[in-house]
Amino acid sequence: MKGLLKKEWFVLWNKPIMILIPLILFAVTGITSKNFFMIMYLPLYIGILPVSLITTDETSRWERFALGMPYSRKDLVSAKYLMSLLLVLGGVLLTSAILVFVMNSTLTVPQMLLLIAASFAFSLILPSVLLPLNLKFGTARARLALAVLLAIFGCMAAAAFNTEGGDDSFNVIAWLAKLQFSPQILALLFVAVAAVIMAVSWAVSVIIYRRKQF
Amino acid sequence: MNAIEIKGLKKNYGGFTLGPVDLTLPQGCIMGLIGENGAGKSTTIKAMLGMISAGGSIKLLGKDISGDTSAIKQDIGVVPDEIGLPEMLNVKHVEKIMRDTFTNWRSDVFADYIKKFDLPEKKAFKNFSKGMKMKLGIAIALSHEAKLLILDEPTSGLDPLVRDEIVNILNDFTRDESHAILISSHIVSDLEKICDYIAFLHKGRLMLCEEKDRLLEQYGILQTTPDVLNDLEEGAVIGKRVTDYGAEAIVDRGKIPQSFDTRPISIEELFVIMAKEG
Repeated sequence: MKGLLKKEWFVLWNKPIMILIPLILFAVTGITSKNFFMIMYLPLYIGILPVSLITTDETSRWERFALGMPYSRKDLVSAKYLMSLLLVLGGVLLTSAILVFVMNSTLTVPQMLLLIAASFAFSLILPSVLLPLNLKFGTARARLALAVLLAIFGCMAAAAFNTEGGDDSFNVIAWLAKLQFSPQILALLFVAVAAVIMAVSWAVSVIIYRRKQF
Repeated sequence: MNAIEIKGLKKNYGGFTLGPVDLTLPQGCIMGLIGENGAGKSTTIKAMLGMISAGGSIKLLGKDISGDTSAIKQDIGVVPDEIGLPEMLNVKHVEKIMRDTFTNWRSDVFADYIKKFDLPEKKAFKNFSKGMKMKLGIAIALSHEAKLLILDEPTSGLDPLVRDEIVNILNDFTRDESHAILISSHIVSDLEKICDYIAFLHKGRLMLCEEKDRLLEQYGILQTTPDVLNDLEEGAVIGKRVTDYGAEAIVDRGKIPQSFDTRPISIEELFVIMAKEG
């Protein structure tokens, strides 16, 4: 596994400017405009980088080459997820450091915790959706699949968060507000839900990859 | 223990059916898998490495490959027809990756091969020539104390000098009696130089799998007249070419009268005629 992670890292770090420029842009814009959400994009951006590595694997025919080595199909899939997780963790640490030390945020500790947990959770969910799609359909067709999925998700979200509906319509925000969770519990919930989604996504990707013929 | 044991290997792709293929390669030997493009050589190798699902049973180094093959692959060096390294990596990156991939990785052996093959350490893989890429693939396969090498068309598209160099390295590898090689190619002359066993695949069918020396002993070329050929025992003529000036046939030496003078046959001639007749 260590060898696979090293390969992912070397490929990823091949063009450091491509990674660093967006990160610096997000950080500088966020700090100067005192926009927390801009800073929270950092782990989100870093977390999806391993998805882009699938394109490199496809063009170089790495998967076939790696299957001749002492790696199982599960190892190849797990390396992508582990890389995403490690990068998101790194991104979240960076975000936290900026929030605490650079922006001198006036947020309370529980609020800060909630913000960081939300950032961590959303950063994990994105690769959890993208990785199985890319592994199943290949990078070119996965874009189309993602567009369809986003459209469906958008419709569902619009319905769930609808605040214009009548008294009978279901609204997620209102429902969450009624539960009156503390920020700490909400932070934990965010992380737990993201962890479950990632675990399910990993299991689905392993099944998809086991069926793949090279 | 046999290095490779394949029994009843079958794979159907719709328009193409491979098998059933039965192959056995003893340790210390080199087997050449010969066949035209699309004969099923790569499919056979992919099935052996678990890249595709196929029917039948396959044992590599005495172990069944139906389960997790990662442990078995520690002892196998694989050189595919295309070395699938990401184009931005260089030799130094590759060394670091392989060091953490194979438990028996030998950095010193790898460094020796890199030097011997004159491969640049910092040049990106995308700037390597086809021969350089293949040499790097071979260097990786030979640097982790593998007992079995599986090579898929390693000499295809390479110039004669590089091909000769690779053939010599493979010869050196089998000096150790616990080593074995399966090498596929449609360049029969390369395989003829080094192989102990020859397996012919034609349109997905295994036409024969035999010791090379036995094949060369058993078959010969007889130049005679069409009438003489017609009088020979059934099964004596494997294939023939009749012209206005006479007939040339590949014959089973054991089935023709000893007085007949035959000339030695090359594996390439035997393959071509068998494929045509098959």
